[in-house]
Amino acid sequence: MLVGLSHVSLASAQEEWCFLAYPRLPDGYRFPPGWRLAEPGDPIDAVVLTTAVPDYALKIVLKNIGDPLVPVVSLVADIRQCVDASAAGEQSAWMRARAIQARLRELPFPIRNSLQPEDMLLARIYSRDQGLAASYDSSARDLVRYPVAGPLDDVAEIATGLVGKGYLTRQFFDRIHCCPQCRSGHLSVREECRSCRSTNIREEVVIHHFRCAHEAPESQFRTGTGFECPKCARPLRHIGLDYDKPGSVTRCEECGGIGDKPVVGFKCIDCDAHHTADQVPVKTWYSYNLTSSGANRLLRGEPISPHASGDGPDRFRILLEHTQREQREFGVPYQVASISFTQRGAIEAQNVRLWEQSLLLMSDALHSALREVDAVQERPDGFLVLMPRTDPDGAKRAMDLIVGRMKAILKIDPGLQCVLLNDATVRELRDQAA
Amino acid sequence: MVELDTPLIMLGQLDWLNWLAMFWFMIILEIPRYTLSGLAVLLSSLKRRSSPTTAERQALDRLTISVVIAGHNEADAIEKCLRSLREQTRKIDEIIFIDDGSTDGMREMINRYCQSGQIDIALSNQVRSGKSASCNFGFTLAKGDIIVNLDADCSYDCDAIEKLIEPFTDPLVGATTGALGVRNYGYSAVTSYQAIEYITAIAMGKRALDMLDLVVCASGAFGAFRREAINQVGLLAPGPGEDFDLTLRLRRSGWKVRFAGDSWCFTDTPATFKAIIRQRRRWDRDTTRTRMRKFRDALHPGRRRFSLLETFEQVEWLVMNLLVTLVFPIYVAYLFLLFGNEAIYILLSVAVAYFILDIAGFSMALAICRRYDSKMIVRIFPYLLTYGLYNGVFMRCVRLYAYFEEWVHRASTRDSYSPSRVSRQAHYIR
Repeated sequence: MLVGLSHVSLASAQEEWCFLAYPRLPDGYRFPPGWRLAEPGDPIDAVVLTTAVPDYALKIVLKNIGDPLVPVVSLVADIRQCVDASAAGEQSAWMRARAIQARLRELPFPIRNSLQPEDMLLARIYSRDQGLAASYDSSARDLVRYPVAGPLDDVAEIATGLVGKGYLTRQFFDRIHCCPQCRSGHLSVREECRSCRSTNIREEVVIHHFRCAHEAPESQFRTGTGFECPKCARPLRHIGLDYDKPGSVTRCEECGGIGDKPVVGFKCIDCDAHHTADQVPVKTWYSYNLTSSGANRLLRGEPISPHASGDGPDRFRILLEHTQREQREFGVPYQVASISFTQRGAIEAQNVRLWEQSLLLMSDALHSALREVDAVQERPDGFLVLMPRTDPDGAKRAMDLIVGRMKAILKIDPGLQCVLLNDATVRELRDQAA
Repeated sequence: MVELDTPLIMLGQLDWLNWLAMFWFMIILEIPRYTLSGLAVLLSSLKRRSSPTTAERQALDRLTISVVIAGHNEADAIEKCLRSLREQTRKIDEIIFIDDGSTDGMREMINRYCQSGQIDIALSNQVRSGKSASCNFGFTLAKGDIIVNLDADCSYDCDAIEKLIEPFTDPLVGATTGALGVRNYGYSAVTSYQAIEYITAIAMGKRALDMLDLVVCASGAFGAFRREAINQVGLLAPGPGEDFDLTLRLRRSGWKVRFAGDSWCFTDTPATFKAIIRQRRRWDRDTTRTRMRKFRDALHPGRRRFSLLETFEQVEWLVMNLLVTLVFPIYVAYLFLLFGNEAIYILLSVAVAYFILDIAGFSMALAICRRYDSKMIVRIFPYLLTYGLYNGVFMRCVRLYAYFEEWVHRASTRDSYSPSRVSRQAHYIR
């Protein structure tokens, strides 16, 4: 027993952490005890940046290391996404690197070495011991970044998938308009002319001459010395007695167009495209936190299958398989209906936000008309609806009800098409999903 | 108890002199009016209405059309109006909507329509300026050769604009006006009476006036103006009665004003007696002010642009409207003084005569209009029985009161039709 204990404490005392300094440390730099410079062939436990390293150089270093979870700390101020600690003092940078590496070592081998983006993201959240918090970054194309995610791409999409599987929870962060053409968040919001979209506009007051009822923009009344009515040529001397200013108009200096108020337009700084307010989609950003279920799964070492999920496509597939088995074994009928939108492209091209809102409404209408045992799968071209224990007549009635409800709440005609799929098509769909 | 056949028996026993003593009002003042307009309409209907030739059609197609609609708190009516404009067979080059200080969300609504491209220009007065100023604002910005002035609470037949501009093939025509119909004819007795009134007044009255070149009001709810013409006479003057005033000025400047009888606009008329009394008092006060104060020199032979036609038109109004209205109470009093209680039988006989004239006039009007369906005719026909009472007694009393208000109190200058700060200053000079 005594031997065992001394072995454990000895191992802990002898534990060494290898780091890669880039560029090399200054001569005579004393790094904290327990750390040593990595020799060729040593596993790298931390990357220590000694100066502000250019992006491309850092990328090469990280690529050569080949470990997306390795902690990167900087001894100088560095706010880049992949840097785990900086600017809080050298001591704290070393401590942070050590803490991250310690938690990484808690992870089972399959997770620590998994190349699945979901595993990597969960591992990074766990190892950094903090939530996947969103923050603004003007250098990012979509204006938001997740520092904890490091070099991973498509973080929001991966995190949304993990939320669906129950491994993350999310909190609202912000809703940001993005360019429908290039998805950039770098949009210039401006007031512009309704006709020619020029920003070269000016507001002009309108004058109403009481005695002859002439009303026109102020420029038509202005003479060298004051105001004179262009209709009756009387001078306008006294506001409230001779005339008043009941409103204003917006005049475009480019096309001469006139309007009540300027319209709001969006210009993408990245791709130079121009969009009207109703064409610009809004992306909702969230911050995420690891759930206990996510942490358990991570520590048990079961890599997450890209298809595994509690809801969504996989649930649909499982239910479909179960229903088909029921039909084979007990002859219980089931139906699968496809609801598609033939006008989707046209509406989306005209008004993206209108389409998004309509899709949400249709989804609500669909779920309100279905039973609890029915399952819905959202597809790019519409919905698939699985109706267990339903004959074709029942399915048709359900489809009529769904279409009726959708049409009742929609302002647009999405070109709804409802078709009951035959067995062959359903099998094909299931195989595709598998 | 008055026996129903007593008036007829009595009438049969009278000689011509007695007839004249009892019915001079009808014989001198009413029957000529009915006969004249009947004759005029008969003649105009005999004259085959020619559609524009190819060259005229091409000339009409070259004209650009601007529609100007000004309204105050008309948010509920805009959709109906725009829907009927979207259906027009004639291309409208520009639709300008002016919101005159509305508080019912009209401004936001017209801006939304503008954003969706259904309106070309949407403008707003944050403070109400009145109909004239708002329309003038639109007229100033309109680029079309023809400016069509419409009301937001009206809707239009799909060929209304096409027919309305047809008279502009004549380069001397400065303005046209179309036929107004009652959309809510079945709503109440008042709207049914007005439906009969509009049908007869338009089919008989306006067509007769058009034939005699005596159309004096291009309605603000449904009128088209040559831009050149209204710019020449200086757009609309401060209201109320601005459309009538503008038309008279156009006529005085030598422009013709035509009635496009096949171009139809429908509107909701006042549905209660209170509302119609208010509306008609305003109309009659405005007419009196414009004719008797602003254009009183029409009768003056020495004025610079004296026109026999204008003078005739003024005299016709003086006799057929003013005189008839003023004389009617004198006539009733005269009957009672002279005949005592027998006057009731005479008035009943007059009512019977009115009924016969109304039936004849209404039938002729329906035949000429050819716009109303049988359902509508059946719905309003029962009101024809008492229409004489409505038009001959009730309306005359309203008119008489309006004349009194205008002559004694100059009430038209204090009308709430324009904001008080505007009308106070606008009418100060008059």
